[in-house]
Formats: sequence, C-alpha cells, structure tokens
Amino acid sequence: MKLQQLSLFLENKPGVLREPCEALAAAGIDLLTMSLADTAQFGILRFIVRDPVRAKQVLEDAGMVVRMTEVVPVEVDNKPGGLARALGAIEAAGLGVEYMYDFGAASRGGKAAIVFRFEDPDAALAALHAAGIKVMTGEEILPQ
Amino acid sequence: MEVKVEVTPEFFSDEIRKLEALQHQLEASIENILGIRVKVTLVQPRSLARSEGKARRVSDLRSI
Repeated sequence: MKLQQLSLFLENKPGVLREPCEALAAAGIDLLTMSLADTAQFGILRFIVRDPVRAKQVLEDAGMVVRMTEVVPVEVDNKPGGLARALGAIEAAGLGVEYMYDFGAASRGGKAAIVFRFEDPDAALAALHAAGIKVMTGEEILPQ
Repeated sequence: MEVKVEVTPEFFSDEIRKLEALQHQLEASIENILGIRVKVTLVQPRSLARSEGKARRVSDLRSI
C-alpha cells in the first residue's frame, strides 16, 4: 500500500528543525521516521506519522508549508545485498526513484523497510507486484 | 542583490530539483524583465515584514 508522507519546507536559518518538532510534540504526534534533504539554501524534511492529516493541520496552523506525498514502503532482506537486490529489480522494472530512506521502526524478522518515492507510485505498485517485490501493508509498516 | 521569495503551498514541491528550478526560473525572469541579475532566496511563509504604512521592500545594506 502507499503511505502518506509529509514534506516540510525549511529555510536555512536557526530553529527551523526545532519548531516543527515542538509543534508536533505539543500535539502528541510521534515521528516514526524521517529524512532530511538539504541544499546550500534550504532543506526539505520528509517524515511519516500515524495521522498525517492531523499532523499537516498542526504544522499549517503553526505557519509552516507542508505537502503530502505518496510513498511506497518496500520490504528488503535486512542483510548485506538486500537493498542492492531490490534496487536491481526496481531498475529492471524501469521504475524511476526520486528518493528513498530507511524506516527502521518497521524492520523485523530479518526484513527491513525502505520508503521509496517513485515518479509514478501507482505504476510502481503494479511493477513491484509483477517483479515479486513485496510492498508492505499498513499493519506491517506502522509500529504497533 | 538578493530577492527573498516566500514559499507558499501552491508552489512548494517535495522535490529539491523542482524548487531549485523555480529559483532559477525566477532569477531568469527578473533578469529578463529588469535587466538585473539577482539571487533568489526561498524563505518561510509570512517571514517577510508586512508594512502597514509606506512599503519598504528594499534594504540597502551597502557600506558607503
């Protein structure tokens, strides 16, 4: 299944990482996983929470710019070569990867979860299924 | 010269390259229209001062 990821614009100045974390904490929202992409001038914080709709509202009420993006949690073997094999299959399927990051909290039973942003998430789901690559369900990906 | 532009939900993209392309597009547009080469900096929404009186949109930071 697809996950709803939140992306937050970060101007390059002190406090911009602390402020959204404080806003989410005040609302009792737990960050499950995150990735920070940066340039010399700005950054984008991408993260996953249990209730992305509420989290988006909390951050927008605090004056921040937030976008919701569909990402795909892919299960890979949690050992050397596991990710490389999955990427080989993804490449063979002709899927374009915008970015990826680890979802450590969802790793269990010798399997790791990697969050992928594909150019076309729906096409990616179909291609991943055809290639025999497991896409994790909500129950599997979100920590209990 | 630096031109600060507030990011709004309408043009905020999750992809770094699209935001960078927007910066360059704005810089090119300003140069095309005004003949001035500027550096565009994307900033947080509502972070630029709003003036209730006479608008003050240019800061002269030169030491002269």
